[in-house]
Amino acid sequence: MTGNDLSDILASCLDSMERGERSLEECLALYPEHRSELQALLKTIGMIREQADFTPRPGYRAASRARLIRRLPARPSAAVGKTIGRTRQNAYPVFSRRLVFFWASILVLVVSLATGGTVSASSEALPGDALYPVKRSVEEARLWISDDAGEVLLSVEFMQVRVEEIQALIDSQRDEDLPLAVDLLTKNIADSTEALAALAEDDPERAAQLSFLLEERLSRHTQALTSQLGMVPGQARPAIENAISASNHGREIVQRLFENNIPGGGPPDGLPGPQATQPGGGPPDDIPGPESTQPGGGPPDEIPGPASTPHGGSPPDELPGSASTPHGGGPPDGVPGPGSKQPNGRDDLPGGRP
Amino acid sequence: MTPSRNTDLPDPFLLARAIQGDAEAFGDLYERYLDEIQRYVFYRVANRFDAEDLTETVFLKAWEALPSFESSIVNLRAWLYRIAHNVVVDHYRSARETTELSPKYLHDRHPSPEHQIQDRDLRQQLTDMIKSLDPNLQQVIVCRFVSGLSHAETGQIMGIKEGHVRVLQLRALQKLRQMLEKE
Repeated sequence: MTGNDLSDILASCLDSMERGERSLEECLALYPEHRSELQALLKTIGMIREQADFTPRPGYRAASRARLIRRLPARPSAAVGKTIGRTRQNAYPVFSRRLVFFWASILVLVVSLATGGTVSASSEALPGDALYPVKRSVEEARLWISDDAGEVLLSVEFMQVRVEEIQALIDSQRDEDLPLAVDLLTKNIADSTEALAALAEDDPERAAQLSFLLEERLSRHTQALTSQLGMVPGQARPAIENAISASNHGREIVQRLFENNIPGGGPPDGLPGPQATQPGGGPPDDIPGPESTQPGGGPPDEIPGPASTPHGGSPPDELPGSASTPHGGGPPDGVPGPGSKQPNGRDDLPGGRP
Repeated sequence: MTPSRNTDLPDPFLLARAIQGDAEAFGDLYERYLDEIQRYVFYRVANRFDAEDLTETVFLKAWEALPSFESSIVNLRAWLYRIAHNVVVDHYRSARETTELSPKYLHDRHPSPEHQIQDRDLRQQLTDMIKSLDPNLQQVIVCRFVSGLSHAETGQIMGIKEGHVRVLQLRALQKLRQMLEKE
């Protein structure tokens, strides 16, 4: 028996105990030859956990929050006071959209030729898979070059993808990957409400139309996730509950955005209200669902390509037809940030002195 | 002024506002993660007041870095832990440099005999023992058993593979056990 074997046995025991699958005694019984060693190590862990009850001093929390907020440097471009704002496109004001689309098109072409197979294969990847970061990078690239209306629609599409991924992870009992899928779903919801808020400033009518679509989809996701809740094992439930909570919050935000200024006071023609989910959970006939993704990974019919005009018109001439923007240059999922390890043991992340 | 309380909003919503410069939304995130980040830092530096200062530094760094990490922040918690890790590494480096210039600094950090007697409870012993481990072993113990992170999360924060976390975990626990037996 090597140290590595024992490290795996200990880790396996801890994992199963943390998931509530085995008791201490059951773990020890599984490895009788290591019983005394494991018992001593687990006792040490118990002592550490018992003593790890450090909490901030009374009164520290409120005082330090106020002090921290006072010390936060203001951001010159901050849109303080807006309910929800935008940063992605504002961060690149020197480029005209036409120029951005031109270079994005070149990037799509080059990366497609170089990594077409990888990008295509990544479309089936699930959170935790090796190719999943490629899939996410493609999504990020599509969002990056879309306008506000396009971003709402793309986010709606990606939300559906996330819900399907959550379903697939539950089916394959990959509970450990559920939190990442839920985090990404929550991010997609936040992206969609941000984009909707930005669109509401420029084109309130179009924003109001899209708000019905968004609410309807969020309502449907809540229902789908709620129906999963009773079928998943106990340890997966918190993740699903978080996803439901995120969907509900998304709906609340959309409702708050438009509660006072929806033109006409109801859904536009051809669009159902938010609760108009069809019996059986299928999409309404007149709204193509995100699941109607076109062969080859393109957007659904209703969802324009990244550069579609907010009113659903034809894409500008300078745009490529495909919306599947292979990017490949995005950050990996999971722990983000440029994580280049430095010789001194610290990562290349904030916190370092100049 | 009464601060806004959005404590039930999921992280990405508060993050989106914080990225826009909404300090109160960031304050809500601060309160949400204060306990665990400060606990993590405390068990790395074994001093409450240092832990408080360093925790504030962690959140100041996070605020400054938010706009540039906007599109990549998926797991805020893991991101904050990594910033905390870097802040602790810098703290040690800074303390080492300061010690070379001023031996008094180190002397002041050592508890007096009276304090030594007062602090000889198990918690202080354990905290001292954890602090005496090599930084990697120390971090595995704190991440796994103080902060309650999984093997995978610990690996992500430390930038190492899960298998390596397991090996370090065993080594750290064996050392702690030996130290406890000697006491």
